[in-house]
Amino acid sequence: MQLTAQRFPDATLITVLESRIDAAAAIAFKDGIRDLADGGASRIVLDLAGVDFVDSSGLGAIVAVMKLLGKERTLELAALSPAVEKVFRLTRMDSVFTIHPNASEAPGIQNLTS
Amino acid sequence: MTNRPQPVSVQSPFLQFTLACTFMDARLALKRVRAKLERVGIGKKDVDRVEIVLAEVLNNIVEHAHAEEPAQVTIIRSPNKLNIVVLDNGGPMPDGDLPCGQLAEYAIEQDPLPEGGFGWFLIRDLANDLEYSRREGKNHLSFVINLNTEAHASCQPAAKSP
Repeated sequence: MQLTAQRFPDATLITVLESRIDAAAAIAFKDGIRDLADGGASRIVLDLAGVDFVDSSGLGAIVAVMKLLGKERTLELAALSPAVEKVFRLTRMDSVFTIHPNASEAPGIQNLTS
Repeated sequence: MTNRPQPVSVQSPFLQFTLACTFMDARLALKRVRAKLERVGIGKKDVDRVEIVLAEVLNNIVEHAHAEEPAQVTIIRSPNKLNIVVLDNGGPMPDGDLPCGQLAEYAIEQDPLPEGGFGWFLIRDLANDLEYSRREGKNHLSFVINLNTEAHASCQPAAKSP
């Protein structure tokens, strides 16, 4: 699971560089995010612009990440593709997460070059 | 014996293949289905629905059925819908029937939030005519994805029970 982290004073931006967060990738995703989120800002913005597809296992992994961040840290999502947005909407998880149209529009994310 | 009528359901499949029951093989199968559906011009939203439902069906087989032989996916195309049949030789569904998949109706009210149980909800929400049977040691799961591409945008989607 390829992930990158950019640390800003008020937020950590984690970009998923894989096209799928599915059952084959869910555990690696969870472990990867947990490692990158450690020691950073209290807000984590997950940039999903490159992700075409999330299945229920991937959705479960995203929820699991939010839970393991605890009450002091938040997980926000950005740039959901239509198929990903559909899965979040149908399961009503779109009301659980703050979702930004693009990572660059999330508060605390500055000077994005990508 | 010679005048045995042909079953009306005989129709050459649009796509048929087998896959080993691993998550990685399921991923490759989904990519293959997606590529084929896009190649014949089926709308992206319809392809998304096929991929979401088939992903959950295949992942369930990998995760729960513990099939020893490859699973088989058959897709039959009609002008307005796709009939999809998935066979596997894994264990039967608990209680011989499909899970109800209602968890997500109240999932967001739960504390802590559930990390699973979304799969059958997605299948039931997006697929029509979902049927399961156990025959000759195999699970037979069939469902229909109605095609609501732009060409049919004025048509109402098939009525679904809430």
